Amino acid sequence: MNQEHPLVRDYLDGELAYDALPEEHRPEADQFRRIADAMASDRVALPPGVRAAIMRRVRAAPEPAARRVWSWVMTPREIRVSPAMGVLALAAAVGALLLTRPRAGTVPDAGPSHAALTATNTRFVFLAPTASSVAVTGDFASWDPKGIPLRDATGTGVWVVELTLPAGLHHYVFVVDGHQWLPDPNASQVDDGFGQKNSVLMVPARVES
Amino acid sequence: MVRLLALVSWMATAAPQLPGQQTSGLATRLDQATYAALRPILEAAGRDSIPLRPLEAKALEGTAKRRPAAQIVAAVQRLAQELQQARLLLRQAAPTAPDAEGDIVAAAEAMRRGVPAEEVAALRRRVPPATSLEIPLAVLGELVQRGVPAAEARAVIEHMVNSGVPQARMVEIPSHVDVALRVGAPPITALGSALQSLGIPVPPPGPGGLGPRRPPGDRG
Repeated sequence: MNQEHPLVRDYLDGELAYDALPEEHRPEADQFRRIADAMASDRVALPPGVRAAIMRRVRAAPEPAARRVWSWVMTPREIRVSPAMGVLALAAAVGALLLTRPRAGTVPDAGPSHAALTATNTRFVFLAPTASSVAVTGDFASWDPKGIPLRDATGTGVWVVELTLPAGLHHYVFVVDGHQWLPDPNASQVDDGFGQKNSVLMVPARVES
Repeated sequence: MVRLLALVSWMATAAPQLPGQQTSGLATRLDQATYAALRPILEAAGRDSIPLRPLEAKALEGTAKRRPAAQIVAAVQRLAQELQQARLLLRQAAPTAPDAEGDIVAAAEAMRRGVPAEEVAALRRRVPPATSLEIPLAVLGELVQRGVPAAEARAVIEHMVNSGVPQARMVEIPSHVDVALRVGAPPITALGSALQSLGIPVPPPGPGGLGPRRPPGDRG
């Protein structure tokens, strides 16, 4: 926003006479004076009936969809369900509970005593200028040999994928051209128990209080 | 209607799934011979409440890497023993701490990377029992693998856990240590430098701290 010249400001404030204003600043002063005069003029009177016409238009405007949905959801209404449907719904709920219960032989993680462990976005980057495909696999992918594909978006041989992984310790490798299993050169490596190396990824727990 | 209710009741009392018949599809991804050889190991682990997920993952890993069946079975057996030892160690160190799968797996891996069992036990003993040690133990393993003396590394990790240093900061330490190591710093100095660069308070010098240790009887 352009500021007026200090001399113009003094003129507008009444501290400097128009005649004392240098000529080169008078057009600017005139422009500001016109604006100030317009703002100070009396309010425009609306013709009769305009206000009423405006309010009729506002009231006739369609209700937003979100409000219509909310009204429908909150309006009490009668719902009829057959007993068979009720039993099926109960069976589905029981089935869902059974599928999510801990398996025999495993123990749930205790986790930080005051925190909710949350998944974290993790970016995998692998440099392979001559590769035609790069994928990442590991415990988070059930060691699927096809892995999760990376993309070389820029065509420069920099392959990238971003995954949401649960907090904890993970092992992974890159699979280049479908057959070459390589650890991440930019990560720590550990023996995989098969005479090769896995890369180590530590995904920290994020505290949510 | 009665049959439907009976079905629901049966589902509610169904026997737990046998080890190996999990949603991970172990049985579908392994050949019959390998699966048959692994099944007793997994069943034994299940009876002892050893975490099954890492054992299944190791079997899937071996299959994906096209390792011979004997090698897969040996690797899973070895891992089961390591997990059992790790769990025993953690339980003895802190009997009231819950058996957390992540802690057990991380403890086994830390020891595999060269962290002495007594340092793993010391860390478990000196932090609140409910604290998850999965990431702290992983960082400890990283530091020891880089040559930081285990006792000093453990003392630093313990200090950070008890001071409430976020895990997001802890996991950055190894890469900062690498920077210092590349310019020739000794591992313990590299660790101190890493902590300073991350703004993590350095534990006071002394036994188990980062400062020089005085020989016994040295009052100077």
